[in-house]
Amino acid sequence: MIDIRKSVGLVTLQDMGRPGFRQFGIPKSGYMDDRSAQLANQLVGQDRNATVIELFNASLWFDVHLRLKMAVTGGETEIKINEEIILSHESIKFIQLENGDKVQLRPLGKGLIRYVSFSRRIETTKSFNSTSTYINARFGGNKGLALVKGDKLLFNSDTESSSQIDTKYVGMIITNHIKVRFMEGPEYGFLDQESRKHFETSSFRVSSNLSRVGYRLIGKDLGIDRKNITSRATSRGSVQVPPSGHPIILMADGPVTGGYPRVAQILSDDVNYLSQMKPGCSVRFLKVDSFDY
Amino acid sequence: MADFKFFRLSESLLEIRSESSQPIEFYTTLLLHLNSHFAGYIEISNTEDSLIIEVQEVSKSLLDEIGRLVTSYSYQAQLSSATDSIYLPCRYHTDTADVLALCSHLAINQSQIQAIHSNCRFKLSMYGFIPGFFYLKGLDNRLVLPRKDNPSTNVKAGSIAIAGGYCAVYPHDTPGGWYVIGEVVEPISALISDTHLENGFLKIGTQIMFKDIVSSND
Repeated sequence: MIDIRKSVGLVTLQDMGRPGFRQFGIPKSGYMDDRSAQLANQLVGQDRNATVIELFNASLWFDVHLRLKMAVTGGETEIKINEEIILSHESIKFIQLENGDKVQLRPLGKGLIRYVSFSRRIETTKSFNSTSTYINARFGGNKGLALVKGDKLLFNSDTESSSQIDTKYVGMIITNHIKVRFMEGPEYGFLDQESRKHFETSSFRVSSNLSRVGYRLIGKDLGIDRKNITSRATSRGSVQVPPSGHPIILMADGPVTGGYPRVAQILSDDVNYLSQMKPGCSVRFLKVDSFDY
Repeated sequence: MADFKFFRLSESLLEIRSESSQPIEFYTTLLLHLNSHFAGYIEISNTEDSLIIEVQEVSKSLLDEIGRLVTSYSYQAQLSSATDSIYLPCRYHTDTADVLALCSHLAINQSQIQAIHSNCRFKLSMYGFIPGFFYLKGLDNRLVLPRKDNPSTNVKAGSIAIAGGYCAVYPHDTPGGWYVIGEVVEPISALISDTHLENGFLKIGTQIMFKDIVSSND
């Protein structure tokens, strides 16, 4: 068992999410940054889809009551075991934890999201085929709630997974300026010509208004046709532009339909990088053909 | 025969729309057609005017295959069957920022909004957006306006909101871009659980009206 001593920010359980429930309005949810989460699982020898702890702009303190390995990926992190800063996670694959260890994880430097994986399976029940926590509707993971002080995570008594020794640690390189590739969305033409040019050439700043649902960007105001459209399908990586002219990028918990023009779709792998951008980081959009990227 | 337009929404999503205006039943029937003639999808769903196919990877060969299947589809309008009808007890808001904005955009007063809205006979058109969120058609033309310029970051569960010609009730707290005019008395989030997914939801086509508990108590 591990015992959560303290959490600051949003700490949730996530797996690869729950595709297949659009017809009920249920979003896919799951890892914000697939790349880092799957790497965390690989480092401790778990399935790619295993449940991990996601720290979204968050710190976490917990006590360990069993022997197991832990990996931490994603943004830069200060890892303290029993008050001792042992390692920056960049140089190592995993950390062997012993019964009684006190662990502290704190954001340090670049990146917004961290993943914590373990060599034993976290015991949790599935909602709609997934353990991912969807806070807004309160289901999945820890009864649909964030992990906070007093919560306990139990582990399956299966044998411990063995780490894949040949896994090279290739964590994501996070910078403060990124270019993300996009395909034109169905309503790209709702942007006036000048705004399409701005969208493709100027940079946008990540605002402080970000959540697992979506990230709002700030930049040159984009001119968008105000005509009503019916609500249509959206997904992780969809870029909507409301009449305010500031783009909204839908993320893992984003709605399955929406009525603001869908001007662009960011390629799924690039959403991983984008998800790690803290407020103030800059983003540029690079257009690719729908099939040639 | 309908003229279809295909759009690759993302690496895994394909959107299909008819260029000509079609009733929603056109898409729900097309969905059934594809369900029985096409395999290997994650989900096929529809909105009011589109069909969405989710697969591992939207490839050019998939486009060809789906293209052949939809062109062999012919829609015949069905006679609508008897539908359920319910009242949702509610309280209308007054003097809130959203209601005042509506009065200004629509050039009507607060009591007119309530009177017009409580007389609308809505029909549940589709689910979408967030779990349990349903789109209601049948909004009176006098209440039709675009979504907000800048969506609110937190709309409260139970809010009754209008925009884009729709009305809806927010099942839980969420960011949202519609104008809130009131709230339902009973939460609708209780409808959503793993075990009640199919039968806990109101059926597509259900007729819904809102009943103001304040004025009906007078």
